[in-house]
Amino acid sequence: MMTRRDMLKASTAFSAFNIIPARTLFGATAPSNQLTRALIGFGIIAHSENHLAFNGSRLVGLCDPDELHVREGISEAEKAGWGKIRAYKNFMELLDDKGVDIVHICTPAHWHGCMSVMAARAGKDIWCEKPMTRTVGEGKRVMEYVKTKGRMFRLNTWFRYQNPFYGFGSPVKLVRQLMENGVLGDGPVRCVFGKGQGFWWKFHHSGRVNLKPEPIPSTFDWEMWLGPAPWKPYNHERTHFSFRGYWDYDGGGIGDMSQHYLDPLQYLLCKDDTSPIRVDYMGPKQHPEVVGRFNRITYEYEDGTVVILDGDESLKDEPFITGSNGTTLWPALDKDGKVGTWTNPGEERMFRMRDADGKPVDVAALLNDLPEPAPQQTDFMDSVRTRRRFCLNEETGFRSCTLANLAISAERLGRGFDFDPATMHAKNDECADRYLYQSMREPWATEFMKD
Amino acid sequence: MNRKHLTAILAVSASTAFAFNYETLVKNAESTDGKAPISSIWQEQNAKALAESTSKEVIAGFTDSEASAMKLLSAVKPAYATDPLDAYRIAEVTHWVMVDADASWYEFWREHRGTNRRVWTEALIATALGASDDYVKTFCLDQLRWCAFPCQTEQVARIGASGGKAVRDFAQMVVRELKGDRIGMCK
Repeated sequence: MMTRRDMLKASTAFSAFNIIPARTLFGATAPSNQLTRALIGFGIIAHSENHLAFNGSRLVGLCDPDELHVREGISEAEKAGWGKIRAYKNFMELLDDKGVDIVHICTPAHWHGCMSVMAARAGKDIWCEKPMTRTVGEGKRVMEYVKTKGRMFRLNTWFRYQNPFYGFGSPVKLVRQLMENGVLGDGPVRCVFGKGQGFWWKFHHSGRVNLKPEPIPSTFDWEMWLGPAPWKPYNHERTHFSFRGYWDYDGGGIGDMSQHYLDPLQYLLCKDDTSPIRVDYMGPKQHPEVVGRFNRITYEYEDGTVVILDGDESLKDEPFITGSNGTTLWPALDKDGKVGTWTNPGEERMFRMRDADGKPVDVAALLNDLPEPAPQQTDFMDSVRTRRRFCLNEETGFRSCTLANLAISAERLGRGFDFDPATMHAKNDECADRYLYQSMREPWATEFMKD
Repeated sequence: MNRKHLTAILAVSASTAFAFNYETLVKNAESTDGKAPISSIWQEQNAKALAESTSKEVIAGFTDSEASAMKLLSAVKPAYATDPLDAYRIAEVTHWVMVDADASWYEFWREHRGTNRRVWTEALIATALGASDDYVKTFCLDQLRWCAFPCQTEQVARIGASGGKAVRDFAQMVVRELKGDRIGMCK
């Protein structure tokens, strides 16, 4: 008869021959090796493949103040192969869960800053939707706090390191290659974001005036959805997809999409460590509560570089970039010979370049002879594992988000103002600075600012 | 927000992606929901009236006296119902009374900006305190946060005490802002 001792001996022997590391058996996708992630907010953006698929991490749960979104999220996660994931009561319960490594913040913009700080405090690494924050002040706080806590942070945009750049047709790394090697001259450049970069989203997410208050749906926690924002009467237009049309929560098309454009811009201009010294605004006056449209936003940097967001297509025939030596860069032409608004990955075309006399330049041949820009850290899961900062981190994200914040403030003010990139405050302009640095409702102001 | 609404909005976005112009935007917007006007379209359709109503001369006139300021602010209605033109004007006055960064001391003294700001902020405070509707109070707080003097924190706090939770919360926020306690400011 086998004794217990015999059984133990046998099982140990078996184990010695059969302990195969999970990594060997399953590779990095072994459940025990996978990083875990949870979604805060399951609105429109969370449905995308970026959020449900997420190679290299395992989705374990989500939360949303709208019960209908929670139910939808649980169901879609199951369909996507994640099994039954956890539905947290609220994001604070999610942050308390020691089993969550990465938090993906998919809420409206007015929550981004506060949640990023609270997530960092809870020991989570953070993947945040854009815009990084609603104000410069919030961005500054997130940047400093995330760094202090040693958390990994990334923004959910990617054009600085992958994909062709919208209608430009090529990755921005190639433009940076030209910039770094002085091909565009030694002086400042002029950059116009017009038709060729797919700048069509600019007027979307304009809100509606004269809304009528509606009963709050029983499945929707309006108080939690508002969070740091002032309480105002509920109307469905002020929530979910269309929240962007209201200054309390975001800044229209600029708030929604501009970091997709302005972050790669900061990278290709080699200006990740600075901000403009001036922002100017052309356009109509703005409603105090509702986002409207603009004609033009112009940024000027200390070295004379000018960047223009062309809101009324009055500059649609200008090149994307004009170097100080007269060299110009133009978007690639699509298969129909036209300038498009989007280029699918894998269908890149080389952008066009002309010398100071307007003659075409063989860009590919030129680039071939130039040193490439330094490689970037482009795998966030690797960042989380190795603690090497991701290329689009809290610092580079803060700088590019500042451009969005400046534009939105100028738009609301109906005029431009000077800005100090060292202090990150408006210069000699109290009203502008009040837009850049705001407070929020309690308890979120305290949560945001406590150690 | 229901799926039908979302589909309509996405249809607007998609259709304007490659054929952007205002006519298309207006046409699509009117076909999805003609109830509450979209702000960017309202701006376009009322461009002349908006420009005329927010000219420097018109705006300055609203702060010549307490009476003119109060008259403009009497246009604030409960729950988003303020006529857009009045709302735009109010926002413009708020911005105008703040000292222009480029103004010289002489300009400031000559144009009595300090006086204009005092008239305007006191009218905002009086309107908020006199209102029975919480939304009207928060509308005024939403202006005071950009233009009130730091010495007016007590009056802003009184606005908070005069309304419900929404007003109290917002007033607390504005008081903090007026004291310089803003997110991201150095402690």
